[in-house]
Amino acid sequence: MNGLMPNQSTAVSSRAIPTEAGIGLRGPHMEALLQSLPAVGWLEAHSENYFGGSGVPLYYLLRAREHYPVSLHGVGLSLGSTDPLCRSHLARLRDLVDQVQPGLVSEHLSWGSVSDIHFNDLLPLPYTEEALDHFCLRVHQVQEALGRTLLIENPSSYLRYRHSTIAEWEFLNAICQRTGALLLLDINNVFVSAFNHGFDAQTYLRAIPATQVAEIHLAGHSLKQFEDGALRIDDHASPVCEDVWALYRQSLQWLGPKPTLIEWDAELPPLPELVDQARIAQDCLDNLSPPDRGIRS
Amino acid sequence: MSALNRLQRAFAEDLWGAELRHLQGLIMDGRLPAARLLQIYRNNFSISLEEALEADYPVLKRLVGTEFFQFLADHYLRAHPSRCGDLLQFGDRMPAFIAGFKPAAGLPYLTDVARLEWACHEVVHAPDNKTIDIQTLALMSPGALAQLRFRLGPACRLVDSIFPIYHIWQCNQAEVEDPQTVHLNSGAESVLVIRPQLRVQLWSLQPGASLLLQQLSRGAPLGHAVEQVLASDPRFDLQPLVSHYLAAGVLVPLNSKSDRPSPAGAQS
Repeated sequence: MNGLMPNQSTAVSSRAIPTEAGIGLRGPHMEALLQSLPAVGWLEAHSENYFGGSGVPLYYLLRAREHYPVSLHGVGLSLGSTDPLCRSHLARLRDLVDQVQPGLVSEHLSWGSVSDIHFNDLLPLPYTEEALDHFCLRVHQVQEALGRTLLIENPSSYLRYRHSTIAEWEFLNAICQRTGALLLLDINNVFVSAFNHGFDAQTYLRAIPATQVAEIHLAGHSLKQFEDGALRIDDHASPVCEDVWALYRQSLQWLGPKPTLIEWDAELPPLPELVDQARIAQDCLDNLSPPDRGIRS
Repeated sequence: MSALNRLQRAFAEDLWGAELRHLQGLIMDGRLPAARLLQIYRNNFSISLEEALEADYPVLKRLVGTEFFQFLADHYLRAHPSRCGDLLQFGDRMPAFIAGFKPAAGLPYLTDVARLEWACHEVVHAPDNKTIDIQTLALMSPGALAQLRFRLGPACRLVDSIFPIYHIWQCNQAEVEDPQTVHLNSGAESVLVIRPQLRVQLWSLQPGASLLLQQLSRGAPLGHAVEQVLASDPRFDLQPLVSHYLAAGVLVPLNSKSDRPSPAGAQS
């Protein structure tokens, strides 16, 4: 079994994420992906899935890394938590970044742990000055530890706090201005939250400066009917819906072309179906009329 | 204590609970009343942790059924909350937990099934085994060989049970639609969980092989381990077995210069 791990001794060089459509890298797709090497521009991996530091998942990631630029997307750093930043989590992330040399590293505008107990979920923050100060401090700490710019993703959410005083888009803009972090703009999340909380998705998206957006996420969600009302649930278990595609096309007019990722996490389809979704996004990027390309970036 | 910290503690209390108490007055009603909105987060939290346990323990789930597994998972995540932003280690206490879980007391083999499945999980994430250069060992004097100690390869786990654990595991794989009956009193079984390349394998061990690996993995020198095996089965043919284990990286000699235990994944 000597030499199973590729590139263990020679450092891989970082490859920038191209302004193309990519797909989320998921365990069940690994073999099909390496066999077929589909025409997608890049891959995104959930950082925590590779924290074992060895073994099968990391093997596949490093193999995939030989063929595609890779970004690392974290779900567990709990940036908004008031617990001290988890140093061991950060150390493992740093090790993974060293091994993978990702083009981008991202995390969420959320919190997930308190009093040393983790809920392993993306829980909503109140949008207050206090939370903004705290979140910016944490972003600074992580950027310093990793020695690189972090991307922050807007969450989907199901509840809002009474004492929030700042709109989510203003909160995100302030984080970027104060920390130098960039945005991972999830258009599906904007759509989901806009419906759930009754704000206008276009107001949100138009408030985001194009230069601040380094990546776009698209995913499927479901509209769930309860006996007393309906909510959009961000379950990543279906194709991107038409409304979100329309919002994406519109956003590209404002933002210019951006690296765009299709996320699919539950009820995974066969790999070709995921690749087809990326192809739709690629068509949107390719069909941006020249005057619109990067008009504000 | 900051306002944000107070809010997060209140949120946590209400995630564990069944109603909106600590967050009362802090959440806006939306398309659904505040209490129902919080319920979405409560569901997401328990479902995602349950799914993590399901991924680690598919045979256990198949043995007890979906409903009981959810009940077990709910008790587990309350007894052993996640302490980490990743879920790799979240299921590590399941064997001990199920051993003391009264509603499962009638199925005493579940603990060993859980041990076996956790061993599989660990082996998936473990560094690769390394092939040992048998020539080096062949040059050693018999006396030096007898003194040699071993450890198991990094992607190997030995799981012993008084139950026919290998057969239980085999009959309850997802692809087995019509499992045969396993007789619990059909005897003890010992399994070596090993990952030769990318796929985890389970090797059902003969009693002599099991005894050999038990002895060696507990630090007994080779000579002593061989004596123990031969005492229990004088006709046991050890030499091909030991060669096979060395070639497969199951046994790693200690104190040997070229095969010193190395940091994870450092082999080239």
